Amino acid sequence: MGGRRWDVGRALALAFALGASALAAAPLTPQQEAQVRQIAVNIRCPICTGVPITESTNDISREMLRDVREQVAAGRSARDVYAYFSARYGNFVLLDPPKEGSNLLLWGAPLAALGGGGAVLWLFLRRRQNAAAPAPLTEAAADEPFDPFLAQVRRDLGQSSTDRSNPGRNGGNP
Amino acid sequence: MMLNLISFQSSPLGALGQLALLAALAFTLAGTWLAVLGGVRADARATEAARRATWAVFALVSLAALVLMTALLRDDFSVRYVAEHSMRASPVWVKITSLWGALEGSVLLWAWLLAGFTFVLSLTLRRDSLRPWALGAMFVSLLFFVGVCASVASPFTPVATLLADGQGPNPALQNHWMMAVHPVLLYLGFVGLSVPFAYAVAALITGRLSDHWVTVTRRWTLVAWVFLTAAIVAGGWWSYETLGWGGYWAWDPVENASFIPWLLTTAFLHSVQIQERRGIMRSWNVWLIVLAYASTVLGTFLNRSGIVQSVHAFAGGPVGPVFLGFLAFLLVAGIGLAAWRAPQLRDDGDPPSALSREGAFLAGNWLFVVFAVMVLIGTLFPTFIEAVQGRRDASVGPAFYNAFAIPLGLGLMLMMGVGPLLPWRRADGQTFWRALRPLLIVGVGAAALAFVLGVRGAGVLGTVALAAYNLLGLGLLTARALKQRREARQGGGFLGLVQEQPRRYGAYTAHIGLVVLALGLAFSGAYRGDAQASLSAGAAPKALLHEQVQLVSLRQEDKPYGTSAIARVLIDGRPFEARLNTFRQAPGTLFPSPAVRYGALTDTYLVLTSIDPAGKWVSVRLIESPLVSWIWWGTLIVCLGAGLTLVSPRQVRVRRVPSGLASAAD
Repeated sequence: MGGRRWDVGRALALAFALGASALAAAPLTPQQEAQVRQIAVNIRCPICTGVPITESTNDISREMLRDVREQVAAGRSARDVYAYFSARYGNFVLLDPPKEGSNLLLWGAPLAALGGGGAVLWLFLRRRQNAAAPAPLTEAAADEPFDPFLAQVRRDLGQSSTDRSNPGRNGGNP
Repeated sequence: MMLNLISFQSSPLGALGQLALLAALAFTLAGTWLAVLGGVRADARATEAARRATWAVFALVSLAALVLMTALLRDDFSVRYVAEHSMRASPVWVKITSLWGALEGSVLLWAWLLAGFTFVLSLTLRRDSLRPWALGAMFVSLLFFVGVCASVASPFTPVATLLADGQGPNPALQNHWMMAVHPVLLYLGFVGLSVPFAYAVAALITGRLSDHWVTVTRRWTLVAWVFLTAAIVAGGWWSYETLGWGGYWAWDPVENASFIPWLLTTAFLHSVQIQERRGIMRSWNVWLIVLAYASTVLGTFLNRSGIVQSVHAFAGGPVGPVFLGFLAFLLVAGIGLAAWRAPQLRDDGDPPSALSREGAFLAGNWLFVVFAVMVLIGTLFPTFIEAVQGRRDASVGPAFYNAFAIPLGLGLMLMMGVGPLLPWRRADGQTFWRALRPLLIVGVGAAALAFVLGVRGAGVLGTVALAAYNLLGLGLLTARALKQRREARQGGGFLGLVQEQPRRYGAYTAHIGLVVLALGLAFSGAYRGDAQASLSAGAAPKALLHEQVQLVSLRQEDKPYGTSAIARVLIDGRPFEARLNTFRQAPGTLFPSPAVRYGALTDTYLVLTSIDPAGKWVSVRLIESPLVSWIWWGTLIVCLGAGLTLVSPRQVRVRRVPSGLASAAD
């Protein structure tokens, strides 16, 4: 065990040293640093499972992070940086899918669900207004403790359409 | 395939387990047949036989699970599962958790829990027309899980050559004790949903709901929901404690897959109350349950098939297509059945009016379902694009989910405050407005105060506003109930109130827990400090974030199953011990164990990112997140509140009334 004791550590230290030298390359203002972070959290490490390059310590992520820094230092916008990475690695690396092309399907679907669902709900609730509206309950009545069995009995007395073929609940288990 | 399943010579334990599974499968087949017979012919004897068949299935699957556990604990590497996923050197708790640490074992655990739930159901089912069909639906689920377990994903198939030691468990699962908790809770939640699903199927087939349908489905769903809630948050905690990124939720496909059933179930727990009170929304509720159950199978399919990229994805083997088949069956049969039969589940009452508690619950349902659709689309979109374009050319990250989840979450918090204020049936607009106004004023005031104190960001401000609005609303409602109670001279104070109406105050408690949780999510998401540095041994403290950080020592600890590098670091004078672990099975991979100091307001979180070969320095990442603990505590409150709603109300003491005809104290 002793011989390869710190092997893993050595490999990592090397990776870190490379990363650190890369990070040291271009000094940025705090605003630019924040911008780098904002952009980089939306760029995916191409060889990990669903991790942005800010969370990954492998070489390719370090390299890509350095790229982001250089481009931000050169004054390029987030949009330009995303376009650059998309051209190099494919749309796969964009964790914030741009709202264009087939991605419109992705961004539009929840909105469609919201709109469609809202319309259905509105029509359903509106049906009531055509029916005769009962008087609003007083607050005291509305606050009464609920007894589900009492409610069932009330419904059963009020309507005949309930389940008549039910042999009843007194059967229990043998 | 059958030839290969049993071999007594090479593995007695394996053969015993396999035989138990095959016998369980035989009883499941018989039970399915008997249940259907009992339903179609209204034959009580057949139904009774099906009911008893569940006992045999439970006993046999229990035997199989016991055999596998024994094989794991005895290091019997003649059993394939043990050879592939366990090793001698592991501590006992890891050997136990290995039962669900890989595919075959986790399917067996699923089958065992399902058999257990079916057994409990067989003892509580009432004698009515739903009984054979509810049993039948449970048997169909069992048929799938026991069938998969006994064939393509059998843990007991014999190994070709006997190994001296196993290959060991997945090291990521060996890194933290939470692995003993999170998967079991999740399976209890998933499997728990099969019971309300069975009741939904029975209601659809018979075209009627028995009088206790609502009570039974609500209770079972609530139990499953508590497990699901606890499991999802426990998974987040596991991620926080072991993955070293200081976060707890990454919108990973498999996290999403557990979240979709949660959303649909939460919607159901509210809309089923409309059915309970008003006799309406029956078919909608059945739909919700069918979809919630189908979504648990979808989750398992995503988890096991490897079609999505996820930290949870196991190598699937032949199981992916089998799960896809079952999912397709559930979707086609379940949704087909619901589409065909649900219209027969007629509502007794009139549709609700918008300004009523029903209206608020339905608006909440709308948001929950949209939320679920959003998460589902985000999860499946990359796979969809891959299917169309032939290559992985899309990723959906937190930016997409958060764009929708934050407004939807705020909308749900808004509805959460409105619901309890409104009476059932129909509210008087002016009364409602009078009740709502103070809450809105306090909410806006809280947000303004937070703004003055330096909080920026619409999501956080909105959460603060809605938190204050919800808490005040619940506080006022409780205060009013207490006042009425005093005026009516009923003793017992607050405790008496809770004992008489555990459902109402349980729900209030759960809502308070959700408010605490939401504040934790909002603040820890928005105000996270994150810095990296390398620290040399013996050097002066370094300023990092708001703290002075100093490396004290670096040492190594060898265990039979792996090695840990342990850095002792002082942060503002307080000692932290962060670890980097390597496990024997995966010598090249580092698993961090961050040192976390939990605080009521801020967590301090220290991760080792690398260590110097000579032991002179370490590089660390320091993360400070505010209010993370509120997520764990909030969840605990939610679960306690949900548990309280299951408690039977204490009988209201009837005060002496001269006529002797005291109506129940309402």
